[in-house]
Parts: sequence; structure tokens; C-alpha cells
Amino acid sequence: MKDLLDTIVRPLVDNEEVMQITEHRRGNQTILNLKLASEDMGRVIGKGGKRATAIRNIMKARAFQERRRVSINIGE
Amino acid sequence: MSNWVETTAKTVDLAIEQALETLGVGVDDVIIEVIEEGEAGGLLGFGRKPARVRVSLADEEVSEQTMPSDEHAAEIDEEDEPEEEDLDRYGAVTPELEDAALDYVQAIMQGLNIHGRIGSYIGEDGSLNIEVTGKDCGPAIGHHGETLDAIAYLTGLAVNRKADKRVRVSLDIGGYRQRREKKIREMVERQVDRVESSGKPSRLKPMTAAERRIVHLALKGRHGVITYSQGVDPERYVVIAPADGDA
Repeated sequence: MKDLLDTIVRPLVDNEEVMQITEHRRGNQTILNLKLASEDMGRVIGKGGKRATAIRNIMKARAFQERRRVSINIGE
Repeated sequence: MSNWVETTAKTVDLAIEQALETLGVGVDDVIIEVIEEGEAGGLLGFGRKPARVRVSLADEEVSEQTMPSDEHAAEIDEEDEPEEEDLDRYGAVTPELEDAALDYVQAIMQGLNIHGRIGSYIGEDGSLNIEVTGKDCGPAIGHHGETLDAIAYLTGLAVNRKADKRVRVSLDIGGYRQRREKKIREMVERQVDRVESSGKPSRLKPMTAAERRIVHLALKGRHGVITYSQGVDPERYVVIAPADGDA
């Protein structure tokens, strides 16, 4: 799943070299930790979390195919 | 015995299976870190990359730092999509932008395991239109087109980061928008009849900016009625009103 998250987010950030994604699974839960340059936080989260919501929406569609739940943490 | 193992295999699931066997525990007792998702590779498996996972016993503290919630960091710079009324201030779609958009959508489709066909054309209004067709597009459309809207929105953002002047990008998957547009147009005609016979304005259900635009354009220059939008997204809606009213 982290490859898809990378695909979605990478074109939105300025500091690609700082961006990092780790993926953990526990039971049927997948946790994606997305680490960004602080300057890119707003670019990925968007006004009122609009962009983050869109990103989560696509990731949920993928998780659903695998019968999994996904949560995405966005941090610096 | 160590508390974690790292394994590689053709797929993530196979690698996890291997690791669980080595550790002698069930999937509920572990935390799995996916290090490489692996790639299927092309013909005959050339270019294949194996999947790699690290599986740790769950009672051991893994470095799974929970990150702060993101809801705070929301003041943002860049343009979000403009209102549907200012239609004219768009830049030209260059081949580079078109390619960037196609690559982006294609990569997301691949990530959703959809193997449809993808194409694009420049519309009469200068906008870039991308169409994905194929059988199993459902996952990329989602409930009420929510996933499609999300992909379209992010594609617009990704492309416009590269553009000197904002371009309009629209995306259709599996013919969803086309079907939806037809329904909206039919509904609009019914509402126009109602407005004309009653002389009272009619409020439509909340719609996305792209869908409101369909209504505005459908009734642009239509005798007897005017349209405008009210409310705040995602509850923003179009009103169809008699032209001789308070306009």
C-alpha cells in the first residue's frame, strides 16, 4: 500500500528527499506513516484537511480490495 | 530466538507467511513492517522485485511512532479549485502537462489494480479531459463517485503544480461522469419546468463544483431562468430562479 501512497503524494511535495513512508500491519489493520518536510505539510493536508481526505479516500478504496483497514498518519 | 525476522518472497503475503512460520506464531501476534512491496515485473518476470517484510512479535515495542494528527496544520498557500463562475482564466494544456496528468492517473489506477484503457483530449473550452474505460473500474469510482472525485481533485493539483497558468482537468472513469451528467441534465429540465410554472426558485441538492458547473452551463443563456450557487462546500447547491425575479 505504501507504493500507492507514494504515487499519490510525491507529485504534491517540494522536498521529495525528505518524504518517507513506513507501512506497518497488525491484524487486518494497515498503518501508514507519512513523514514530510514541515514546509510540505500544508501541501499534502490542504485547507481543512481537504487534500488529506482525498488521499485517504483513495487509500481506503485500495484497502477495501484487500479487506483491510488503513490509517494514515501524516507528520514532520 | 530473536524477536523479529526479515523475509523476502514474491509477494508481501508470501513473505509474511514465511516469517510467521519461522517465528512459530499467528498473524494476530505480530506487527509487520512492509519494507518493500515488490513488483510483479514484466514478461517472464524480468524486472521483478521481491517483497520484503520485517515481522516482530507484538509484545515487543517496535518503532511505530504514532505521528501527531494532521488536523491542525491546515493553513495553506496554494489555490484550491476556483468557483465555477470564473471560467475564462485558464492556461493552455501543454503536451508535458497532459503526459504528467496521464502518468498520475495511470499510476493510481495501477495501484487500485484497474487495468482499463486511458486516453485524453483537449475540450472545446481548453480543458484537459482524461478518460479511463474498462470493466472493473468500480473501486476507482467509489460510493457516489467519491473516489473518482478524490482522484480528479489530486490530479488537478499535481498537474497545476507544474503549470504556469492554471489548467482545468477533468476525469471520467468507467463512464460515471457521463451517466451522471445525463441525469443532472434531465433533472435540471424538470426543475426548469417547475420554476416556470410556479414562478418560484428551486434549490437543487448539494453538488460538487464540477457538477454545479454542468447546471450553470446547461442553463446559460436560457430564457426565463437564472442560476446561482449558495452555501459552503460540500453543501453548496445551485438555485434555479425565474429571471424576472430579484435578479
